[in-house]
Amino acid sequence: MIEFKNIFFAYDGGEEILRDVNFRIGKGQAVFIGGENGAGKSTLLKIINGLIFPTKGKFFFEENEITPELMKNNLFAKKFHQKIGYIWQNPDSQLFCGSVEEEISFGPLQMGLSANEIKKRVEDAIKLFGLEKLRHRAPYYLSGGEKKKTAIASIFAMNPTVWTLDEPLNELDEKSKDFLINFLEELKNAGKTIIFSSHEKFLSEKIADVKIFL
Amino acid sequence: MIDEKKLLPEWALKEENYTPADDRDIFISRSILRLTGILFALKKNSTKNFTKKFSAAAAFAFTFFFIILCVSSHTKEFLLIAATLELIILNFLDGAEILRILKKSFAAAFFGGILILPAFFFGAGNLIILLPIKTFLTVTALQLVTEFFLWNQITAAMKIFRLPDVVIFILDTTIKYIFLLGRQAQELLTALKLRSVGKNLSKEKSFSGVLGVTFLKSREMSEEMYQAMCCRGFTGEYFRADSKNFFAADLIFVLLGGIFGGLFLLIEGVFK
Amino acid sequence: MHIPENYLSPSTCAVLGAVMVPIWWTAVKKVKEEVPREKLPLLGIAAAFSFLSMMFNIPLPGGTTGHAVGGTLIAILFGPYAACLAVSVALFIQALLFGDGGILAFGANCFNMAFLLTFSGYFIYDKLKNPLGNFAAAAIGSYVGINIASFFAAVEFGLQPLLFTDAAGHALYCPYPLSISIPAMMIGHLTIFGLAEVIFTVFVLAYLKKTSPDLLQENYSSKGGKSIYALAAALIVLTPLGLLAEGTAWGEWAPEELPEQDFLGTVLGYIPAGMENGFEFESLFPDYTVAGLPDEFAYILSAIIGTALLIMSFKIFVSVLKID
Repeated sequence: MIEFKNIFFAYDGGEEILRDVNFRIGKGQAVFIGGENGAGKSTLLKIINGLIFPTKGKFFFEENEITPELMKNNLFAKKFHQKIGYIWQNPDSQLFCGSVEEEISFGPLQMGLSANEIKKRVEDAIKLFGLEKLRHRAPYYLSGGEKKKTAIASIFAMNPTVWTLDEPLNELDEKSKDFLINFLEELKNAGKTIIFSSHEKFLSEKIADVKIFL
Repeated sequence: MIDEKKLLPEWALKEENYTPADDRDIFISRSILRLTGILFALKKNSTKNFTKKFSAAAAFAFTFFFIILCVSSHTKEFLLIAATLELIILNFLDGAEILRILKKSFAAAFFGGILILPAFFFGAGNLIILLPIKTFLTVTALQLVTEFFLWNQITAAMKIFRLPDVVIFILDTTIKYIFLLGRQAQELLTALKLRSVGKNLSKEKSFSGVLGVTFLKSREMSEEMYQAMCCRGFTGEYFRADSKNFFAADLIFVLLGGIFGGLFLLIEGVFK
Repeated sequence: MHIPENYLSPSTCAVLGAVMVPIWWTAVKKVKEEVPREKLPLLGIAAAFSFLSMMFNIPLPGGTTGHAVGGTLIAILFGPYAACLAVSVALFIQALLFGDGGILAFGANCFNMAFLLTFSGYFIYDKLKNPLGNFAAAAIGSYVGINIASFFAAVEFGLQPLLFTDAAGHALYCPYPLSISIPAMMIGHLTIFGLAEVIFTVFVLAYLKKTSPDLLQENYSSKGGKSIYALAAALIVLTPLGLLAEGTAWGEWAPEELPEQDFLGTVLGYIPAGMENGFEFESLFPDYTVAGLPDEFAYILSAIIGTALLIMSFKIFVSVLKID
């Protein structure tokens, strides 16, 4: 469902970060992306999310080649972004609502789901991530781990087919790490595709079917 | 709070079957674009090698003088000579850099032109046609200084103009935080875009959320910066280290200033 | 509202710059006295915030967008003196690094946006916040503030043809008298830009009030009761409405094109302006000689220009090829 064909990437006039990257990811696979600092892990995730485009080579998502022109098609872009969820390395970058509850309901509201369905999803997500006590707090003032959970919950409520996670275990304590690994396994069992980068080996040992090293 | 095994709710097991509705959310992309432009301009961290022989202060002083002359000029002859100087200096840059500068200058001159167009047709005189040309020249001149020097060289040069240290400090921190906060705002807007997969019924709310978080972040940064300054002995007065201010090569600017001042007097005085 | 270079005479710029000097001096003094030193880094950060605010395209009802100045919001959050300094620094960086607003016109732009806008907006907010509440006060304050600022910018434009003309009576700088410049500036600001400013101010305040209510509480206590000043200020702003009627008589001047000056310089160059400007340059150069310059000099000049243009076009050509 995701294919990288001879992909090269360099930021404006800078050095090449990705060099001839090739892989193919099937539906329902869990993929680990490894590499040193600055190896291009975040860059690769951004390409998958259609935020930046390869300088050379082709990126296919469900048989569509993702190009700047295609992403300018508003309806296609929206559908594409719904299918792929992105968890940023720093949760501060992705939380912009006034409360945890609003943050989680943002996506379902956008999708125009029924009021009942939205309520159900928000409640399920809050319960699943144990955010009951924080639901009316502003995400900005939460601790790092709580922010991370809020970010993941807010993507979860949109039910994307593909999850991309940039260093998902950062800022989490041991208990939360265990929970997240459990959660990712569940997602995998539900047939979702999971693509993640991490420094922590045990995460890749535990759930990855495919490992890509940059 | 966290159970060992917790089954996902039933809706999460299914594949989402979603057809998006269109919405006018161009404001997100437009804001991202503008921020990206700003960040790109500030990120520039290499300078031309030969400009190390010149001081930003001298270059800036000359540019200021040059702009005053251009603005006060009433003859196309003088402006033509001024344009020649800019043209020569432009040639020290790469094609991409020249293109970037010219695009901006032409855009500025173009809007200047639109602005005076009706006046021109209704007979406001020939001098009015010089306005877009002057706009072009002054915009180019400023872009050239900022292209050849880094912003920290330029703020340091402000000391020559007797600006208090505290003002230069504010300038420096401002540029630094435009970059940091700008990147923060850019990422937030991108996250907003990624999750804007349908119709946003309260655009103003999401928009103010992005700015609100940026503001809260700026407050936090300010507190942290003060604490860091205290750790390094800050007691309320800010002093800036002096750097080497002038170089021998700066005489070129004095020479150029003399030539252009002379030409200005000659052309504007004799042919007016 | 950023006045570009050349639209005001150097003397106008000098006068407005001179007016700003004591204001800045007072602001620095006030800030030093009143702002505790742990808040000093805040000034630069406030300036950065103000700068970035102007980068945001605010969604307006009906699908359009506009951008605000945000001066009143900064004044409400940081106090008017700090806001004056912050907006000044932001304007300076815009003029210097981004060619938005002239370097010589810097004093004039600061007078309009850093002084008039922030102080009038804050003043009205301060007077009205007790009777009307924070949000209504902020909405009215920011609306009046941006309109006072644009009104004065229009006056500065409009005075130019009265004060500076050549021997034939033609304008040297901005060619439009008050009867055109005021409606042209005010139409945009009374409607779309004013609305953008109000939305910007109120919604960000609402967000901050919700997420960190302490921010708005710790602020200054109002002396109250003097809302008569607010009324007077509002009247000043409303006067140009009377001039609007006169402005429509000048319809052939395409006044709807005039507000476009607001975008000047901020446009990132997606307009192929080269063609439009070509003819003006040609008029400079009839037959490679320049009337009024000695022939030899003009010849050398055109040789230099020709060579330089050639090298430059080659460089641009190469860079464009490389991109594709």
